[in-house]
Amino acid sequence: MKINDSYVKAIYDLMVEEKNLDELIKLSKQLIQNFEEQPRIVDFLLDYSVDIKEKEEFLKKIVKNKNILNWFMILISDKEIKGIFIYLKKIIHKYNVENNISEGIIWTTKLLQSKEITQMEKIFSEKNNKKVHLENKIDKEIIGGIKVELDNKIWDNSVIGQLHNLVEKLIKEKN
Amino acid sequence: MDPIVKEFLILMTSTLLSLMIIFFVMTFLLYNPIKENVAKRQKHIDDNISSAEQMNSNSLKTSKKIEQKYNEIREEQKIVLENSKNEANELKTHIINQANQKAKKIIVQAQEEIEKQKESQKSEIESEIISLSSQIAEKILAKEISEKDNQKMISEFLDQIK
Repeated sequence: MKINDSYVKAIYDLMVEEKNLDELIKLSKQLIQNFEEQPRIVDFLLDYSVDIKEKEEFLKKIVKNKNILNWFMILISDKEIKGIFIYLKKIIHKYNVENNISEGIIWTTKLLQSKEITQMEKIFSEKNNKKVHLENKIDKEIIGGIKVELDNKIWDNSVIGQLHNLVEKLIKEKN
Repeated sequence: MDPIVKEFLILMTSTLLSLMIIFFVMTFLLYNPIKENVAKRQKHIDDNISSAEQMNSNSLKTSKKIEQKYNEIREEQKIVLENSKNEANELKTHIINQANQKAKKIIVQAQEEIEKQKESQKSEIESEIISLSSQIAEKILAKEISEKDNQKMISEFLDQIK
């Protein structure tokens, strides 16, 4: 999919001027989560048979900022809305790069306490010499323990991870 | 003398005389040209015979030369044939040797392939056993892992990354 970075730069710079960048970032994260949980929203926005006014009315319910709403409408009219996931992720990435922030995910079988997450964020921030934000997500498939993904690296102390390591070790020894 | 005898003798004498005259005339007019012709004919025949003999002699010489050439060609043919036979035999031996070597190589490769397949199958079976064991272990651990164990692993992780 061809992505035009001008769309990202346009809304990002506008929000910086308006000093509403935090709102854009927060909304981007929320929308990514919403779109992932309900892909039908994207299908609806992509559907050319749906009237553009109907789409605008729908977006007004979730996007309060007028400039961001207009940006969405431009994406729709320019038929660029199919790349909305990538555009939102690029906005967050741009923000993170400019503010020396890394975002990661903690996978556990049960949600951790906020103090545990904060503790981990502190440790990883010190280790990586940058601000680290960690989001805790549930993954029952890891059976137990914890797995952290950050900057394309994985720290795995989950049951399934250890089991896989054991299997790999056995296969290597066998060969 | 009886007149009849006398007449007879006269007639005889005249007849003989006539015959002699005819003989000499004929000899003069016919014998010599005929003799010359015969001599010419004889010479012509002799020349022809001589020519034929010469031709025969030449022919014999040519025939001998041809025979000699033929024999030489036969000899050359024999040598060429012998060489061809030798070359064919060498080629045959070479082809047979090559075929034998190829066959041996194919057999060795086939044996190696069989060994590899055996190893591969063995390895696959072992991997399958490990995979199945892992799946069983996953199911057992999913039931057996307690909240305490879970928390212990998280604490261990925090200690490790510090």
